Amino acid sequence: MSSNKIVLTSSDGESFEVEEVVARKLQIVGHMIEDDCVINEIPLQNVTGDILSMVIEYCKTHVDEEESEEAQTKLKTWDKEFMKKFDLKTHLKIILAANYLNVKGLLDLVSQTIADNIKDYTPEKIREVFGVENDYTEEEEAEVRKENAWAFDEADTPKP
Amino acid sequence: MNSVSLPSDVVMEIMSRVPGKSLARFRLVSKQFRSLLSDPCFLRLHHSRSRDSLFTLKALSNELSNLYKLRYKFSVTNKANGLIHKFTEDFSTHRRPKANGLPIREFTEDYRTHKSSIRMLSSYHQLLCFVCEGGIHLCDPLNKELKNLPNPTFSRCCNFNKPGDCLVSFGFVDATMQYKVIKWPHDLDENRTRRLPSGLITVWKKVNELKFEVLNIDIVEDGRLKVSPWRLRHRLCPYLLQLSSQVHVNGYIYWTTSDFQIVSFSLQDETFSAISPKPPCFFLDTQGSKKSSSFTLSGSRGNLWMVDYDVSSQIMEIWKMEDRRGGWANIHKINLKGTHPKKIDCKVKMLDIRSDEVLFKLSSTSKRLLICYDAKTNTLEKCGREFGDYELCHSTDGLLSIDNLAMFHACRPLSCFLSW
Repeated sequence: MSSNKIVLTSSDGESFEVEEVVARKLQIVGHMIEDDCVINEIPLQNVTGDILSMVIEYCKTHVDEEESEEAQTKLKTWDKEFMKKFDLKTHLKIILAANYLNVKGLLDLVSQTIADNIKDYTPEKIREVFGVENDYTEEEEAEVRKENAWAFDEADTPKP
Repeated sequence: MNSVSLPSDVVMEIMSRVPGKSLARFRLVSKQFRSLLSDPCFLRLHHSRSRDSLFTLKALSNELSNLYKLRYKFSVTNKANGLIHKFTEDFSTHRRPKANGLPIREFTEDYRTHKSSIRMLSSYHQLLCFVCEGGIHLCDPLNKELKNLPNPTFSRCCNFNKPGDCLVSFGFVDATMQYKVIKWPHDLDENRTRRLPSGLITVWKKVNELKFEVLNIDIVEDGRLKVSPWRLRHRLCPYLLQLSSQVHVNGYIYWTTSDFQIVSFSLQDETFSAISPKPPCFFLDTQGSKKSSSFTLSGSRGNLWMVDYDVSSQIMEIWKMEDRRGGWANIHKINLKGTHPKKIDCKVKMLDIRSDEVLFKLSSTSKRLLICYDAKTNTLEKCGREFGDYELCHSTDGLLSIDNLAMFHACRPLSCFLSW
């Protein structure tokens, strides 16, 4: 594989010089390279520099996906530690970037991390985190709560 | 904290990895969220990502509930979650007890028979189905729910003359997103099997029409389920089905037949057909090297498997059906020497298989063993202690709830007629 350098530029103008193999982990870049519409500088409009640097860090670590069990275990541990560094808000920014840049492994990793973190949240907290407006009337909400009563353990049912 | 607005495909990526019970709570978030969580595409994605877990059914104890009935306590457990569900089931004793006092011995005998008379059937899609003489139950192991289904009109569901035979099939049809329960007629096997003194089996020539009953359980909005009434169906079935061999894989029920075929029943079309090609090991061999082979089917991890166990050499071969038209591949050849004494009545049942691990049950009249095979090291390991009255079944997490199962009522209330 050639060791061409490619420069990725974030929406806020930060530039990162990375090897082509690393840049190709971003499928959006991979497609551009295959379509020959790249020389060596790629502007990525939807990602800020701080997030892009995290994505690049992930791609650098995952650049050679070794088959051996030992290497896989090592990568998994790294993934876990990598995710632990950030809070939920950052995770949500990373997932948007991973989705836009099309980095499959990172998308899976960060989705699972968010899922594990939010699974015990109340509906109210989910609204807050995901910026969803509650469009139920009081009666509708009570009805839906009743229908799904099995899912509300006594502990997490809000007290009146 | 400031929220980040996410496109719906990203929301789906996250939510498809959240446990079903949490998602049921998240229906309360908003109308849009609720409809996203009810979307069949979302349900399929969530199912594809849910972990498959193995559940154990165990008979705990029995007591006499009245003179004619035995009451059993059963428990459903899972390695990760511990006790999931406890329930009781009544079995009639079939015998009239003596007027003076309880004929204890007769009950002890019945106890043995009844042990194998509860069957746990998996849809591989969250719900399990328990079948016993008392009826058919739907069970949601993760959410600890158990509900009775209406009784079929023909007859009871377990065949006490042949313990192990199950007259009920259960499965999930992905294309229509519905569960189906099939009740087979009582005399399906006996009428069609003839054994000659030589041990050969005559081929059943008459193309018989088979009558059976079907119960649909549909997924309606918000993961609730609606049970339709039983329907009677007639289908051609010129096969000598071995009832106890039934397994369910991806919307098909499979059996072996007495004349060495594999027959499938499509839960979607409700029709029978023979599988071709069949595994190369699967043929009648009265003289050759395979005369002591026994064959069992297994439905594990979305695939159909055939286990060929040769009692005399104690070699077990595991074959996998590549796809419904594509033929078979030999995956493992396992030498079971040393795990158990050679016994003619020894049977193998494969319970679970992963890329390089096989979990199976070895049973003879006197002993039951649970064994795990590790293909990487080519070693066998006995799992746990003696294996008693267990049944194992797979289930996955999901968003469905049988908490308020909508039943179709066959009889209209009288007032309906009066108002006409």
